[in-house]
Amino acid sequence: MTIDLKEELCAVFAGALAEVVSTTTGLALDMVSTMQDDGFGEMVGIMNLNSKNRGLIFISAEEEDVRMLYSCMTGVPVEQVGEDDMSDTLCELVNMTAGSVKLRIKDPDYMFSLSSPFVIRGTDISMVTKKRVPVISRMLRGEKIAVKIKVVYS
Amino acid sequence: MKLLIVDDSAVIRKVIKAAAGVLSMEAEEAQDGIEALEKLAECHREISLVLLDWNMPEMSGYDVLVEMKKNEKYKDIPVMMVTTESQKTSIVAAIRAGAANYLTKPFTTEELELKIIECIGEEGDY
Repeated sequence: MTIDLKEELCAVFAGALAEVVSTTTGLALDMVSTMQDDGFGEMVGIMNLNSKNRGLIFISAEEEDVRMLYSCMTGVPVEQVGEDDMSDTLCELVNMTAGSVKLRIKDPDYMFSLSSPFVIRGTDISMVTKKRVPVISRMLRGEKIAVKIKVVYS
Repeated sequence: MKLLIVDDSAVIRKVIKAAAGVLSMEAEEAQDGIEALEKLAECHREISLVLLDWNMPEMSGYDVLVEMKKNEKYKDIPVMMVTTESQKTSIVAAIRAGAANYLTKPFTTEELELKIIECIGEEGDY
C-alpha cells in the first residue's frame, strides 16, 4: 500500500466516523493525531471487511465516552445507560461508519461488503500482527468524547 | 397510528421510537425479520408503516419486504427501508420489491421524521 493510498483511506475512514458521530449525536469530532501505538479504548467495536484486500475495522473508546454517545443519540441520561446499550452503540457505530465508507471509497481493491459487528471489552487491549500489514490509525476528539479508529488490511 | 420498527440494533429502535413519539405515533418493535412477521400476524391492522432494517440476522429486511408484499393482509402497508447499504442497486431492488421509501443510516431525527411523514402523510392518510 502506497503512502498516498494509506493517507486517502485514513481520511475516508476517519471522515466517515466523524460524520456518523456528528449526524447521530450532534457531537463534533476533530482528527487530533496519527496514532503510532496499538492501544485501544476499553470497548472495541470490530467488523470484518470482506474485500479483495481483506480488512478489519476497529472503533474504540473508553466506557464513559460510549455512555455519552448513547446518551446523545437517545436522550437517555448518562447514568441510566446500561452495559448492553453501550455494546449496541459501538456495534451500530461500526456498522454505520463502514456503510458510509462504502459510499466514499474509490479504489475497487478496497471496496468491501459489510458483516456483523461485534464488541470486545477490557483494559490494555493491544493488537499484535504476525506480519507487517498496513494499519490505518486515527484518534478523533471532541469536547465531550474521544474515539479511536483503526483499519487493518492484509 | 402505529409504526412497526424492525432493527437488530436496540439503539436504532430507541431513536426511531423517540421520533415516532414526537409525531404522536405509537411503535411496536421487532429485533429481526422473523419477529417482524410474527408482529404483523398479531397486529397488522394497527400498523400504519413498517421501518425495516436491511441487514439483520436470521432473515434480511429485504426478505421480510418480499414476504409482506406476497401477503394479501400486509401488502398495502407502506414499508420504508432503513439501512447502511446506501448503494443504488439496493435502493432500486427495494423500490422494485415494493418499498415506499428509503432512509440511509446515519440519519438525523429531522430526516427520519420527514421521511415518516412522506410515507404516511401529514394526517396519516394511510
